[in-house]
Amino acid sequence: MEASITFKAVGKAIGRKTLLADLSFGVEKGSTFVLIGENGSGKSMILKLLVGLIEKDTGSVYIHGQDISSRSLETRSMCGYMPQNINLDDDLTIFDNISIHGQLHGLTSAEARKNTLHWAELLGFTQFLKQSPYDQAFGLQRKILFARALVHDPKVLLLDEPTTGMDPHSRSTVWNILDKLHYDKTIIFATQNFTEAERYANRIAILHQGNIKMDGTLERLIETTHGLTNYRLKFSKEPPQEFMDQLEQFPRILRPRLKGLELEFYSRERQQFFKVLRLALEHDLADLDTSICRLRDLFIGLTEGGLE
Amino acid sequence: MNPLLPLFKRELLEFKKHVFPTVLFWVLMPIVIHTFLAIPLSRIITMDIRYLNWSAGGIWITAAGMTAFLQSASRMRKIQFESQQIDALLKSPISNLDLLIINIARGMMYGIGQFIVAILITSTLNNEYLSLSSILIISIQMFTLILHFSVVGTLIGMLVSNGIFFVNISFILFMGITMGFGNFIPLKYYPYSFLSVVNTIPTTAAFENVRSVILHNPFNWAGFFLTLFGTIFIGIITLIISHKIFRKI
Repeated sequence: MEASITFKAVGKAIGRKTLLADLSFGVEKGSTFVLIGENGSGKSMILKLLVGLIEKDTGSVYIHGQDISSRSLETRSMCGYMPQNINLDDDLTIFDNISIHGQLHGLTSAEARKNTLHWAELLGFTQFLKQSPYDQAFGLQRKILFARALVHDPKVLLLDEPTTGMDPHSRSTVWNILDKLHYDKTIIFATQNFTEAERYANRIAILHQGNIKMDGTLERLIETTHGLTNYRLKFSKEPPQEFMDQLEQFPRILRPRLKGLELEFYSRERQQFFKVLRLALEHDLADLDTSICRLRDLFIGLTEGGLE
Repeated sequence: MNPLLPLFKRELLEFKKHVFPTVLFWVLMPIVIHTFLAIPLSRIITMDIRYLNWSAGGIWITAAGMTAFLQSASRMRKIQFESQQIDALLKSPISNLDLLIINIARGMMYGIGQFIVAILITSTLNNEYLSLSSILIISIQMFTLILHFSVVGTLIGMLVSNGIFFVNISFILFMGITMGFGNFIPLKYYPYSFLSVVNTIPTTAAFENVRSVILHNPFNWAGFFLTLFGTIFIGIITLIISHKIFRKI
């Protein structure tokens, strides 16, 4: 597939702190690419860099074949950006906030008006258009930001934690819209919501300390765990230290961690699990739960030093 | 579409929203300066012509200059430090120069409005008649001064994030315009050492030019052009600094 966005050895540092470290990746046209990572891992930085809000120190970035440094006006007009923070203009109405933004991206007044009304209707805030955005609830302000990002019909949509602060109904509206849009737009969104990432992404990149630790389709990422399973055992009372010491003797029980009355660990071998279960039954085991490794487990493993 | 058009439209929409307080401010500012500064000083300062007529130039300069400065500086501070609106603007396909031009234009729009209201008010209060040619020449001089204060305001607004510090700078500027450049107290009252410094500043001559129209004296065109070139120079510095500040963390 044709590349929509290409990062080549991009670096960014402030003083001695490295924010992006020799970052290289590509995103195909018409795909949905998700960046997940801890706070400060560089997710928002990547999005801001793409829309020209910050400048890279080294490397090159291309959007639809155009260098964001030398053709910044063109690349910026191709992108729609929804930031994490509310940065709406409090001196303008909701309508004018969206419409002026569209006109800044080259729409005529009539086109901007038409598109503003279209998105307001789809997102359900037509009745508030004449009001100030700062008189509205946080979730609605997020929807206004979403509409503002889409008003000029951008080829690339960059969303920073798009559904944060929205109620379930609004979330579902936003995702339904994105589902329809992803056929002709490249969508990149940063999130800490693993469920949304698993549900909507064509490709997922796990970011840690300014670099991609792993990226690929969800299936590919899960495959890398080679059938690793997550086990959670719940006890009626806290198991003794002796039990934990015994657990350490099992070489194929990975990352055993006791959180209150719940013991969590990973393993690829059922036999190992059965042995732990036998031991646990001697110490007031109340319940158990097992699941195959998901994105959350992979993320925790990768960002906390590995599952192995 | 030229990006300056929607940006200018945005300024007009904001003006429309705040039209009443803005006009009230335009009316009150010259009246307050006339009442609390010009009238008391008229009891102390003696000169060949009526002091209140002479000080009208100072009222136009102070009111229009401060309005232009405060509007451009506070807008720049607001988009950059108080809200994160600058991200929405810089994300758009506009250049730093576009952003600075519109901010300066905003200062000028409010400054010119203030100047028009101030000239009407002082003419009414002083029963003063100004010919069309005098108004035209005053307007040319004032246009340069308003541009100057808008550019300085944009620069200060871009650099000063601390609110208290900004208030202090505005106060110092107000005191400087009213008391330091002969707008309300003739420069002959100041010591020679002070004059030798103040006379090297081109805006002093530009201020003097405004009063010269009232006194029917010849203008110092060198002062006018030096102020204009100085303003362009500050504008270029502002643009260079904007490249060091915008799009940086």
